[in-house]
Amino acid sequence: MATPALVPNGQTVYRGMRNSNWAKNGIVNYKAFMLRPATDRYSAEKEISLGLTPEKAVDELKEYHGIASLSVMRIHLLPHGLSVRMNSQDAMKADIWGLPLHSEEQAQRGLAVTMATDLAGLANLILTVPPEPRR
Amino acid sequence: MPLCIESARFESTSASHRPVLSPLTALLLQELEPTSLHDGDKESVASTESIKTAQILVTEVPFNLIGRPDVSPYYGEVHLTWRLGNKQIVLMCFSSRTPLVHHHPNDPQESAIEEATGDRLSHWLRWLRA
Repeated sequence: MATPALVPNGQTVYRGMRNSNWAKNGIVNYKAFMLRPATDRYSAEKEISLGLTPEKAVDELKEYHGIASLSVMRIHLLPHGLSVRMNSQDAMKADIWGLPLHSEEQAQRGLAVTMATDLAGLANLILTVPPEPRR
Repeated sequence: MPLCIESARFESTSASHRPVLSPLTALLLQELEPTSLHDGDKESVASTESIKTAQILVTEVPFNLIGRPDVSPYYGEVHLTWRLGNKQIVLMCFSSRTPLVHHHPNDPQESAIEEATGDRLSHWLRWLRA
């Protein structure tokens, strides 16, 4: 299968906050950009999924806790060789390629946290969803 | 606020030998209780072993360095994250491997990871404040 095209540098992409601990006090953290390990329900992630619009960033999530925006150019300028590529299934989605797969191995984990921290540093939370009040 | 509470490390000590913990350490140990460590997406539950490892390590850090890290489960692991400005330290505790500590300075080329001990975690927490 051909490698999908790069998303142009002028584009903004959006990351849905699937988990409440991906952002605290309005600041996105590295967990929002770590690839998920295989679980009982899902296979291991190989890319970080993004939307080309805020709505597409969350349209497949059962719940979300905010949306962050990132500049494609700034992702490409990070010193990690990451690329933002069109999603082959959905023309309104994109993926970040080049992140290390989930691993407990020291070097691999170190790279993953470094890259994820740098991506989080580029992310601006544009929408926060307040937690539901406790009954 | 109790200043002396049970932790995994000291379960077997007699009361007179239990250490006095700072309020911040005591708070942190409360956050590291399994009942406090749950996650929104329900996929991510910390294992008993990773919680015990985290509890032991935080009791080895001097009072003046412990601060208020963000505590969260991560697919069986426990992560503690300290941030100050653009600096970040992440302590990662696992079920079946030595814990790791990652530090991330302003320059990503200088970030690194190593096996975590109480001494090394304290070293990086000093670095965070330097």
